[in-house]
Amino acid sequence: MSSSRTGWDRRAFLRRSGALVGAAAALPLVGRGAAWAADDVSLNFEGWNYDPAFQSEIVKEFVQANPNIKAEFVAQPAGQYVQKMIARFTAGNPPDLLYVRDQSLAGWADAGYIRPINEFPGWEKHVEGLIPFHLDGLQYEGKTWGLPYYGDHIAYIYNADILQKAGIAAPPSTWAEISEQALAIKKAGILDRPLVFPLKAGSGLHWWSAVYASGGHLFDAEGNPLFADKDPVSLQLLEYLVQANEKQILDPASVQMGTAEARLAFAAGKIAFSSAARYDLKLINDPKTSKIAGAAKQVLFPSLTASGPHATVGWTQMFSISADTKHPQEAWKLLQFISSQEVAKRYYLKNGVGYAYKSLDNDPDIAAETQKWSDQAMFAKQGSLAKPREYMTFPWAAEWEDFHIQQLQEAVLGRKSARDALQASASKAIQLKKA
Amino acid sequence: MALLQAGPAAAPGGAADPALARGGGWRRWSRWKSALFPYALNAPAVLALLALVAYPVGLSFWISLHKMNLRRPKSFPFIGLDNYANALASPEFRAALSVTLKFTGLAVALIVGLGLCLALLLNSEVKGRGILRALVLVPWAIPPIVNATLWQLIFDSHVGAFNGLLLQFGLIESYKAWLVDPAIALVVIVLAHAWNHVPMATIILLAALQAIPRDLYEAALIDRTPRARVLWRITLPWLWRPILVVVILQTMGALRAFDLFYVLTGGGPGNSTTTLAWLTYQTSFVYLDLGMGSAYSYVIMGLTLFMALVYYRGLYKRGDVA
Repeated sequence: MSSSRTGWDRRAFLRRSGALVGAAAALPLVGRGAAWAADDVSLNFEGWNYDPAFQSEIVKEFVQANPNIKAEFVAQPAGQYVQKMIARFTAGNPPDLLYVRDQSLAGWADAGYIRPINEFPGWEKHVEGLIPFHLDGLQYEGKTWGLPYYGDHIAYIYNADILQKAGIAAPPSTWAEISEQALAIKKAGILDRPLVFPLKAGSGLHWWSAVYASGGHLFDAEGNPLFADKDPVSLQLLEYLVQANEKQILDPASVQMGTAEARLAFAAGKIAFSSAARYDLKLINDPKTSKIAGAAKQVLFPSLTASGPHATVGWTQMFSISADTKHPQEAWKLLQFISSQEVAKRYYLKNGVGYAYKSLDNDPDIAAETQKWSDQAMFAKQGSLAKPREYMTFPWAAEWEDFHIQQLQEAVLGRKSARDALQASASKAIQLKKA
Repeated sequence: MALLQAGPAAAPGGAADPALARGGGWRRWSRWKSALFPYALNAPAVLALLALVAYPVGLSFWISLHKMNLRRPKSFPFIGLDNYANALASPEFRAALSVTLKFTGLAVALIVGLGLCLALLLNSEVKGRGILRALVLVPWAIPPIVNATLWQLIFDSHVGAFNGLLLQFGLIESYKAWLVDPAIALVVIVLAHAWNHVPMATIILLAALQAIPRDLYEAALIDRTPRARVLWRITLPWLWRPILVVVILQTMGALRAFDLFYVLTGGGPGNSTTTLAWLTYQTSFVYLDLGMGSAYSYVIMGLTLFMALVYYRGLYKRGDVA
């Protein structure tokens, strides 16, 4: 078919097609132009993907209350969150507002990725009611870098039904008591390996908690390792775990278990004792997600001796404003909204995820909700003993912690002695610090 | 310019006929155009390759010469080959290299061995050969990450099917944590990797088997040659080249294997299943040490290249049967 017969030659076809495509592309702009007022601001808010529906709902409420600010919450996969955000910062395209992990705070503040809230008027009143350790978690180099998203601690939990079946009257408060009770459970034929100590790479919080519970420390203020000899707690704890494995009361699968795997095994009734994220008690005691609903109880984190101090690791995850945001005032407005005490309370009632506000400890709704699946008094008591990991500002922290966990695994599985494992870990810390 | 001046249109003594010069210029331009045209056609592809391959490769090499950790992005000092020296001197690297070589050796041997056996079986006159040929492809169709998750469920210490099977047969008294034993963990990963990759080896070798002239076998049959001798004297010589291809591809795949380690063991227990690929991932994307991570990547690349060359030199002539 020739072009003269149709009236369309190749050029005419291309010209007309181009015009059509251009018009189609311009249509959304026309609609948007009509919908947006000239002074509208659009904010991008990103975080990891724990219950993104809740966060989106809160942002929606903010937008309804502030119609001249458009905002959207975008969830990123939790496992890749830090990497993704760093890529965004490095590319010069960060979100306006974002979640910041406690481990990332020092590095991101040093890198100039996020801005302190001290520059915004009235910031002080937002941190007045915070539990002191959570407030510490928001601060670095004398500045406050955001407001709390949530805060919680590592709890120690036991299966009350199993203990009752084994004729055990009271839950354990020391590791020696755990051994006795685990042996009793084993002898009663209830469980073959009743004890789990999560030792998967990335689950260092559990080890830190055990060290704190027995009054130990891993590093001094300069980042020098105190194990294996200056502070004996690590060595004593690791030797305990080695013996627990030899006595066949510690599940060797502990080396493959992180917080999530331990929770699943506990909820399946395969474990009598383990540490866990405190908020996971809600899932473990929920009949929809657990076979042992109602049987999981929290006890103060066990220590090597009865004198305690039964402390644990706590953490604070925060919302921060990007240093490069073009709309700092609007981002500050959104930050105040999403980190309010009211939102923290709703988050707790929905997911059981901890809060940073002291006054919520006495809130009747919170107490009633907690009693459904845990013990509010124990939550508050253990929470008051929680403290952050000592090494948060060291840039080599993550690398050392993975190496440390590897060494703990090797010792527990009998591939090297507890002392050799800790000495190797101490050498690695010194090497990383020098590098 | 010099070429144009020395061209055929230039008259002796420097005087030039304008008409001739015009005609000669046009011809020269046509020749240039013909010569440049293929380059112009290839230019977009070349530019895309430069932008998408050469630039990132060059940049990552440049980064490997620096100390660069994204946790402290403002510090980017040039340190020459220090990252390479530190990598080669570190016990973690040597341990990872040892695990990588063990894994690669076991996996490639298993894949080639099983692939060859399956190819010989599927090339013979067995009943249901068509169905078997289709079935053998199924593991290959499964994405590696799904394959890893399946094997994780099979060997799970609390709910795994493998434990269930052994328990039902009375071979164990209670569920065992198989993957906490370093030797067993590596063997399980080798099995899972082989299960996923044997089909590809089988298909390549089966295609090669079908290309062997039938008259060679007919002559062997007439001569009443024993089967083992037929395999050794006819089949295998014709298969050396395809085997070489399979060995090279599988070696490259095994050296870079990642998904199974990520899902099944996370490099543990201890560092017993930490391969170079896993170490590179950890260093680059968990510790965000891009300088050292890039250096590890180049070491893997060098190792892969070296092994490919060794195979090539060792096996190529043996397969040169034509």
